[in-house]
Amino acid sequence: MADSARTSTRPPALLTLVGLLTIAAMVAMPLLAGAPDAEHVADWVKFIGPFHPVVLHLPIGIVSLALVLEVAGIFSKNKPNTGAGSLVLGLGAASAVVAVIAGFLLYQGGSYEQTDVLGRHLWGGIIFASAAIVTFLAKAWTDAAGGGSWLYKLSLLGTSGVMAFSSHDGGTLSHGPDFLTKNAPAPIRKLLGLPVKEGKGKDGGAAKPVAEKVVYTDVVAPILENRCTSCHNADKVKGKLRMDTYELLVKGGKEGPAIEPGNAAKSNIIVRAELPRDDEESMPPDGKTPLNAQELAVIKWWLNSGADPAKTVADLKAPADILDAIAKLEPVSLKTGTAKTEAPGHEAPGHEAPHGTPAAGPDPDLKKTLAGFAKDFPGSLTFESQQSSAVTFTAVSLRGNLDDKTFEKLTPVLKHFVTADLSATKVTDKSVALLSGSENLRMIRLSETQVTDAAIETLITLPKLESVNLYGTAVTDAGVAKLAALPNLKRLYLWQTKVTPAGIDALKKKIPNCQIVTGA
Amino acid sequence: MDPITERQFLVNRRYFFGRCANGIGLAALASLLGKESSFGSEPLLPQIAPKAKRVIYLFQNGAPSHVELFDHKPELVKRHGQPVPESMLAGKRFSTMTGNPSGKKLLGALEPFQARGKSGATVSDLLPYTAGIADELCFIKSLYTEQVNHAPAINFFLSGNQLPGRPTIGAWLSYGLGSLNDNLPTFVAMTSVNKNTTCGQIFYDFYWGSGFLPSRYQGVKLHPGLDPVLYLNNPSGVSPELRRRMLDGISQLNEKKLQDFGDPEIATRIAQYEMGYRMQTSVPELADISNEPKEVLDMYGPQVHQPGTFARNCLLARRLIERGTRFVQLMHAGWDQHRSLTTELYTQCVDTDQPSAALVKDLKMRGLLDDTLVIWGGEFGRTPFIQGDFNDRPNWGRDHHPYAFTVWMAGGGVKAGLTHGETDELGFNVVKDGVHVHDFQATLLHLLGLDHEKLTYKFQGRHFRLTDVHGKVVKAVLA
Repeated sequence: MADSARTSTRPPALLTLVGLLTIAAMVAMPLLAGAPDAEHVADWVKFIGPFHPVVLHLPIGIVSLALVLEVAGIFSKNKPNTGAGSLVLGLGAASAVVAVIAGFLLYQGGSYEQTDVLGRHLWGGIIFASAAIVTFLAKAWTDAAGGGSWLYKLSLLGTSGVMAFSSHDGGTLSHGPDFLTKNAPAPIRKLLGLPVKEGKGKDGGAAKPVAEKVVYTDVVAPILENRCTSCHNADKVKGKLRMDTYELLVKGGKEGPAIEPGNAAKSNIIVRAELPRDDEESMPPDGKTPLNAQELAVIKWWLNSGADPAKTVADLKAPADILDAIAKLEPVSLKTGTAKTEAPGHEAPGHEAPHGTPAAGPDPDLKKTLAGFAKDFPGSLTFESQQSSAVTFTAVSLRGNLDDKTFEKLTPVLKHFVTADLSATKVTDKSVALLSGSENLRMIRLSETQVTDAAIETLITLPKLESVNLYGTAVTDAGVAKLAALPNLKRLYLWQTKVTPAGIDALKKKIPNCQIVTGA
Repeated sequence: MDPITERQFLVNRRYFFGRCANGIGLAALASLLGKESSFGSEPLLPQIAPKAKRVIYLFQNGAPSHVELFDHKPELVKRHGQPVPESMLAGKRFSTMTGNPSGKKLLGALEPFQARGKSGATVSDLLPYTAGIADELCFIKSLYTEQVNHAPAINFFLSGNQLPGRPTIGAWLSYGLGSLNDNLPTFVAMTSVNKNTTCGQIFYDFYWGSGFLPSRYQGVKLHPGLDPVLYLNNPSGVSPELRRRMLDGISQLNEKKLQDFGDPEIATRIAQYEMGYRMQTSVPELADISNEPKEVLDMYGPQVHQPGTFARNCLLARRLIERGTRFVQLMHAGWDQHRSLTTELYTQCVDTDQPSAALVKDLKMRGLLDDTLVIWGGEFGRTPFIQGDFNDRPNWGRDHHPYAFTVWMAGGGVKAGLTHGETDELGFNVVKDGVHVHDFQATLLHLLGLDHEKLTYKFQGRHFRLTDVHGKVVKAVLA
C-alpha cells in the first residue's frame, strides 16, 4: 500500500477513499455501539480489549519517529529528500487504527468507571488515529505532487499534539491522575504549581496539629490507602469495591456499601477487618498486614461519629483514647501516597508477628552465643519461639551427665532463661544459686536432684515463677513454706519429698490459687 | 584412528560424563543442603510460644465405640431394639459389612454411664480408671472423619491423607521442632501386643513414616518384647571399641559417597548409625524399669510386668518423654468389635483403661503433664446400630462410623475437665461444634507452637501441609 503510494505519481485516490472510510467507521463506532455493558459482551471482545496497552505504544513510537525525522530533515541541508517517508506514516496510521479498535473493545468489555477522562480518551484516540490517517494522506498527496507541503507538516505536528494529550489521558486512566508528578521533587512541583507534599521532610507527617486534622482525609484515608486500596482502586477493583474516595466507600461494591455512617458494627469494612484471621472472608487477605488495634479503633470511632468526610478531629470531639490511638498510628499511615517510612526500627509490612506484636525475632548475638554451647549441651538451648529472644533450657539429654561444673558454663546466658528443666541431673543448690539473675524464669524443674531447702532461697527471688517442680528432692516443710512469697506461683510439684501433709495444708492456705501436686 | 588415542577419548568422555553426573548431584546437594541448613540442622523454631513440647498419642486402632465409652446417649438405650430412624441415614455411606443400614436395630450402651468428677464428664463404667481422672481430660465428642475403613482412616488421622506417602504428625514435628535429645530418637512408635485382641489389625510402617520428608524424620519403632531395638547389643566377641572402629570406618566410606553423589539419604544413614551407637547405651537404660517404684508399677496394673503390653508401653512412653523424645506414638489394636462387643470390648477396656489413666497420673505427679500432651482415640467411631443378629447377644457388634466419635486429650495446653462438641440423641451425627480431623491436626500443631498453615515442605512443586488446605484451630479447647 505504502509502496504503491510512493512509486505512483498519480494522486492516490483509492488510498484516500480507504482512509476516509476508516475515519468514518471509527467515528461511527462509539455512536453505534452504545454504552458499554461489561456483563453482556462477547468473549472475543474481552479477549481483544486487553491488547490495547500492547499495541498503543506502536503508533506513539512511529509518529514520534516521523516527527523526529521531519525535524532532522529541516536541519539536514545536504539531503533534501530526507524526512519521514510515507511508509513510516502509513505504519503509524495503521497501528493507530488497530490501537483504537482494541482500545474501544477494552472500553466495551472492561468495567471502567464512566468518567470525563474516559470519554475524552476514547474520542482523543479516535481523533488521533484520524489525524494520523490525514497526515499520511497529506504526505501521499504531497509526494504525488512531487513537492514539500506545509499542510503535511502542520498535520503531523497536530497529530503529535493530539497524541500527547490523548496518551496522557490513557496514562491517567491506568495509573491515576497524578502518575507523572506524584514523586516529583519539591522544586518541580512548585514549578508546576502543585502543592509541595508534606511528610517527605525530616519531621514526618506531623505538620498539622492533631486537632486540625480532617479525620477522613488526614487519618482514615491514609490508613485505607496503606491497608486496602492496593486491591480496591481504579485499576484493581476487587469485589467491585473501590476504597480510594469517600464517595466510593459509600457507594460500596458487590456486598453493598463499604461503610455505614453512624454504625461501625454494621460497616462492611469493619466486619471484614474484625473477622478472625483464619476466616476466609477476613480482610485484608492472607499475606497482607491486617489493621492494627489503633487503626481499627480510629476508623470505628469515625464511623460511629457519623463518618463525616469533612470534619476535623476537634469537630468530632475525639475522646482521649482515640487521640491516643491517632498519636500511636504508624507514621506511615499519616503520610499520603508512599508506603515507605523512615521511622527507625519499623518492620516492613508483612513481617508482623501473629497477634500483632512486633516481630522481634531472636537476638542474632545471643543466637551465636547459644550456638557455641551446642557441643556441650546438645538440643538443650532453644529460643522459645521465632518471635522471642527468651531461652528455654532442658537437660533431658544430659540427665546424670550434667553437674554443677558443667552447668556453670552457661552463666553468660542464664539471664535469658524462661524455662529450665534440670530434672534427674547431678546439679545441687550451687547451680540453682546461679539462676538468681534469671528474673524472667517462669518454670523450673529440679525434680530428682540433690537440691535442698537452700535452693528455695534462690527461687523466691524470681517473682515470675509460675511452676516449680521439686518432686523427688529433699525439700522440707520449712523450705516450701517460703514459696508462698512467689506472687505468680500456679503449680508446685512435691511428690516424694520430705514435705508432710500438714506442711502441704499450711501452704495451701497461704497460696490457694496454686495447684500443689503430691501424688496422693 | 590410533587405538590409543581412541581409548584416551573414551576414557575422557567417560570421565567427563562421570564428573558431570557428580557435578549435577553436587549442585542438587547444594540446593538441598541450602534448604536443610534452614530447617534441618537448625530446626524451625515454633512460631508461637508452645504450650506443649511433647506428645504421647495413645492411638486406639480399630476404632473404640464412642456410644459405649464416652458419649452417653440415654435415648439410644431407651430405643434399644428399634430400627434406626431413616432421617439419620440420608446421604450416609457405611462400610460394605453394613451395606444398606436401613432397618438396622439400634443398640444401647452395654454398661451404664455416670457423670464423673467436678466436670461431670460422662464416662462408661467400662472405664473406671479413666473415669477417675475425668477432671484432667478434655473430651472432644464431635470428631468426624472422611474415611470409613481402618488403614485409610488411620493414615488420614496421622498424615492428613488416606493414602500412604505423606509425612505423619510425628515426622512433621521432628522436622518442625527438632530433637531435644541426641541419644534417643525424636519420634518413637510402639505397638502393643495384648492377648489375642488385635482383631486382625495390622500396624503398617507408614503409620509412622516420614513420607517425602527426609527419612531421618521417620518414627523409630521400638519392638514389643524384651529387646525394644533388635540387635542393639554387640554380638559376643565384639567389644565396644571394635564396634566404634567399625562404625568410624563405615562412616568414612559413607562420607566419601556423600561427597560424590550428594544423596541426602546417605547423610541420614550416617546419622542413623551414630544414633544407633548412642542408643546402645540409652535404650537399655530407657527400657530398664527395675528402678521404678512399686507404687508406680502398680498404678499401671499387672500387665506392666509383661513387655510389649499396652501397660508396659505406656510406662515406656513416660520414660521416653522424660528423656526428651518429642512424639511417642503408641499403637494399640483390638477395638474393631464387629461381632464381639459383649466379649472383646471388655478385655480391651481392661487392657487399656488402667494404663492410660496411670500414664496421665504419672505425668501429672512428675510435673510433666504441664508440657506433655496426651491423646487417646481411634480413627473413627462405631455405629449406634447393630451389626449382626439382634437375638444373638454373644455376637453383637457395631460397624465403622465416621460421622461422630470421641477423642480425649490431657495436659499440654488443653482445658482440663472440658467436654467439647455434641452429637444428636442417638450419637449418630455431630450437632454442635464439629471437629474435623484436619481441625484436630491444626489444633495439635498449634499446641506445639506451630502454625499448621506455615509448617510446609515443598515436594514435587507443591508446598505440602499436614492439614492439606483445610483445618481450623479449635480454640475452645485451648487452656
